[in-house]
Amino acid sequence: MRELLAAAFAALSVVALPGQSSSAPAAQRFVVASKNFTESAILAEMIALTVAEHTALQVEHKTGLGGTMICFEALRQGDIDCYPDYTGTGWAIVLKEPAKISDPLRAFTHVQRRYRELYDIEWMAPFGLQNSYALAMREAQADALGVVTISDLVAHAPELRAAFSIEFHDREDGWAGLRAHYGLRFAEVRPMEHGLAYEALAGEVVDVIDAYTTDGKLPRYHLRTLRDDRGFFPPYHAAPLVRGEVLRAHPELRTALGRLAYVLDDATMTGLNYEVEEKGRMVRDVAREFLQSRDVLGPGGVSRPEVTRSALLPFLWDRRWQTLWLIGEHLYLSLLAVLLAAAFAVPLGIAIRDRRFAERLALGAAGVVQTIPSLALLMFLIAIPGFGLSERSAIFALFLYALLPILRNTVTGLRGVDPVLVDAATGIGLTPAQILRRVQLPLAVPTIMAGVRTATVIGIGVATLAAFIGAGGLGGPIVQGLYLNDVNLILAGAIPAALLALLADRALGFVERRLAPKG
Amino acid sequence: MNAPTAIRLESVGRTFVGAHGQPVTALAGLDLEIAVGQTVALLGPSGCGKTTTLRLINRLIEPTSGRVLVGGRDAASIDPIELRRGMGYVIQSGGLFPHMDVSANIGLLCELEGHERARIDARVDELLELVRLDPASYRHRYPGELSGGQRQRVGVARALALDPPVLLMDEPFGALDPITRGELQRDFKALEALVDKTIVLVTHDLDEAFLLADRIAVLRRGELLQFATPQELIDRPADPWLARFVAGSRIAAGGSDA
Ligand SMILES: Nc1ncnc2c1ncn2[C@@H]1O[C@H](COP(=O)(O)OP(=O)(O)O)[C@@H](O)[C@H]1O
Ligand SMILES: [Mg+2]
Repeated sequence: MRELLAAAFAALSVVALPGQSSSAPAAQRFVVASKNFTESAILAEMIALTVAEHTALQVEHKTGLGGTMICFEALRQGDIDCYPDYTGTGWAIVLKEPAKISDPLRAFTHVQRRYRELYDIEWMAPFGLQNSYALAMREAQADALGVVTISDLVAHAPELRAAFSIEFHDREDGWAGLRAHYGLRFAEVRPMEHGLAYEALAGEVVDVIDAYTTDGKLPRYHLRTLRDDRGFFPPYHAAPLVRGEVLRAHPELRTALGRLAYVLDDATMTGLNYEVEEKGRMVRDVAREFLQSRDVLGPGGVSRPEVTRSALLPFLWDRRWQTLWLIGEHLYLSLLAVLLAAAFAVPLGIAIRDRRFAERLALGAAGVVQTIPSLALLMFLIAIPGFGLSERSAIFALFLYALLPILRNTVTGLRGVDPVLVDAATGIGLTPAQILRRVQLPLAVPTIMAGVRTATVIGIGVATLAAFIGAGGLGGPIVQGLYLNDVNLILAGAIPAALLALLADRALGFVERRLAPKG
Repeated sequence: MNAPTAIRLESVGRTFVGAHGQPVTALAGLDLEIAVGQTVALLGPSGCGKTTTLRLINRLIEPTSGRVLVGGRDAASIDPIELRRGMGYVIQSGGLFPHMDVSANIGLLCELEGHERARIDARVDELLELVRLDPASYRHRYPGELSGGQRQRVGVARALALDPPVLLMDEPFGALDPITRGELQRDFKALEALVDKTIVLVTHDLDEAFLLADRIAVLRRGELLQFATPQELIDRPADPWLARFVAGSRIAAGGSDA
C-alpha cells in the first residue's frame, strides 16, 4: 500500500529546471520524463542536468509520469522527448517478445533495433547499471554460509526460509521459473508484501527474499544480492530513450548524453537510491552531486538555487509569486471545468426532467464516472489521441467529476418545485417554456447553485492531481514535495489549495444566498 | 334569462387510471350549460368530480368522451394557452409564485402579453384596490409575508389581470378560517368587476354556494344530480339525500334571502 501511494504521488510531480519557459519555441524545448519510482527520477534528473549543461536546449523534467506504457506512449506521441528505461522492460512489455532472453548485449541491440524500426525511438548508450530481479540475504548470513551466487544457495536452501513478493511469487518468470532453473528448494516459501519482507529478513523471520539489484533498502538492512550466475533473470540495463526526430534536429544531444554512458554501476545506483529513499535527500541534489563527482557537470553545476529546508513561513513568502501563478493555473483548470460542466449538465437536467428513464440513465452514467479513481481516469484520458499529457485531459477529467453534482442538483431542484405551482402556472396560461423560465428554474436556482458549489470544491481538490499529467496547478508542489521528501514544498501547494477550496465554498455560498428567491 | 351560452358540457365523461391500474370514472356523461355572466357553483361531497369538471373547462384535463364548448367553439380546437388566458384561474392555496412579489405575480400575464411597464404597474394597483389591498403597502410584499386571506385576494387579482370573461375558481376560500372566509365571500360578492363575468366556482360548502351562485350544479359520484337556482334547490330537491343536505344549510334554515 505504501508503495502504491508513493507511486501514485511520485507520478504527480513536475519539476521544472530554471530557465524553462513555456513560451519558448517548442523545438528548443527538451522534455525529460521519469517513471514513478526513485531510480527513474534520479536517472531522468541526470539526463536533464546533463542536457541543460551541455546543450542550449531548454530542459524540462516531468517527474513520475506513471508506468512504462504511459512514458512510452508519451514519448511516441511527442509529448515528451526522453525518459530512462530498461532493456528487459522494452523487451517484454513494449515489444512483447515471447522468448526469454538472458544475454544483456543481445537484449540491448535487439530493443535498440526494433525501437528504431517501429517507433523511431533511439536507445542511447546505457548508464551502466542493471536493475533486475535478484535474491537477497543478510550480509552476515551470506558470509557465514559463503553464498555469493544463486548457485551457491542451492546447497543451503533446504535449511532456509524464503518470503517472496506476491508478484514475484506468482509469476512464471519469477519464483516458479527460478526454482526450475536452479533446482532450488527452500524449507519454507511464503508470499509476503514487499515492504514487510525487508523487515522479516532483517528480523531473521526469513532468510531469503526477492529484491531489485539496485534497491535503496539494501544498504539500510545490510543485505547482499546474489549473483544470477546461470542467467535466469532477464537483463534490465538502464539507458536514456530519445525520439529520433529530436536527435536528428539536435545532434549535439548524442555527445551530451554520451557523457552519461556507463557512469553508473549497480552498487553506485543502490547508494543513490538509498540517499533519496532512506535518507530523505532530494533527487536533484543527489543527481547533481553525483554528476559533479564524475565531472559530467562543472563544480557549480547548472546554476540552480540551492533549496535548503528553511522555516515554512519565509519559504512560503519566497515563493509567493510562484504560488500566485499556480493559484491562477489551479483556478483556471477547476473553474473552467466547472463552468463547462454547468453549461452541459444544467440543460441536460432540464431536458431529462420528468423523464424517469432518461434521468436514471444520465445520473447513473455521471455516478459511474464519479466512482472512477481520479488517477485512473487521468491515465485513461491521456491514452486517448488528442488528449495526451495536456491541460485538456485535466480539464476534461475535472469536467466529468463536476457533472454529477450539478446534474443531480438540477434534476432534484426542478423536481422539488411544488407541483401546485406548476399546475397554477399552467392553469393561468403559461407555456411550458414560460413555466420553466419563470417558475421552475428560479425556484431551482439555489439547489442548482449548491450543486455548482459542491462541484467547485471537489474540482479544486481534484485539480491538485492535474500536476500528475503536467497540467500545472497547486498539485505541482504537493506531489513534488511528497516525492522529494520536502514538507515545505508539500505545504506550499496544500495550504493555498485548502484555502482556495474554503474560499470558493464561502464565495459560492454567498452567491447562492444572493440568488435565492426572496419571500 | 335568455343569455347566450358561455360554457357548455355535452355528455362529458372522464375516466382515470387508478392507483392499481383500475379505471376510475370521475365523470360519467355530464351535461351542463352555463350562461354568460352567470355564477355557477359546482357543489358536492369530496371526490364527486367538481375539480375534474372545472379542469376540463380550461383543458388542464381532456375529456375521454363528449365535448366541452367555450363561447360556442369546441375547446379541443382552441389553443390551450389562448383558452386559459381568457379564463382566470384561482385555486385553493392561491398558487402564488413564492419568488415573485405581489406586483410580479399579478402583472405576470400582462408582462407575458407584452404590455408596457407603466401600463402593467397601473393595472396592478387598480387590481389591488379592487381586492381591497392597499397598493402602496402590498405591491412589493412576497407571498410568504401575506396572511392566507391576503394571498387569496392577490390570487383573485392575478386571475383578473387580463380582464378575462370567465373565472374558474376551485374552492378559493376553502383553506381559510371561518371569519376570514366570511369576509372574503362578502367582498367577493360585492365586487363590481365580477358582475359581467361568467364564474364557475367549485365548493363543497353549501352556504358558500347559496351565497355566491346564481345556479348550483349538485354533483354526486360523477353525475349531475340537480342543476338549479338556490331557491329551487330548497323548494324542490331532486332526491331525499339532497333534501337532507340542503336542510343542513344555515341560509336555507334562515330563509331565502340568498
Ligand atoms: N389524476 C387522477 N388520477 C386518478 N384519479 C383521479 C385523478 N383526478 C381525479 N381522480 C379521481 O376522480 C374522482 C373525482 O376527483 P375530483 O374531481 O378531484 O373530485 P372533487 O369533487 O373532490 O374535486 C375522485 O375519485 C378522484 O380520486
Ligand atoms: Mg376538488
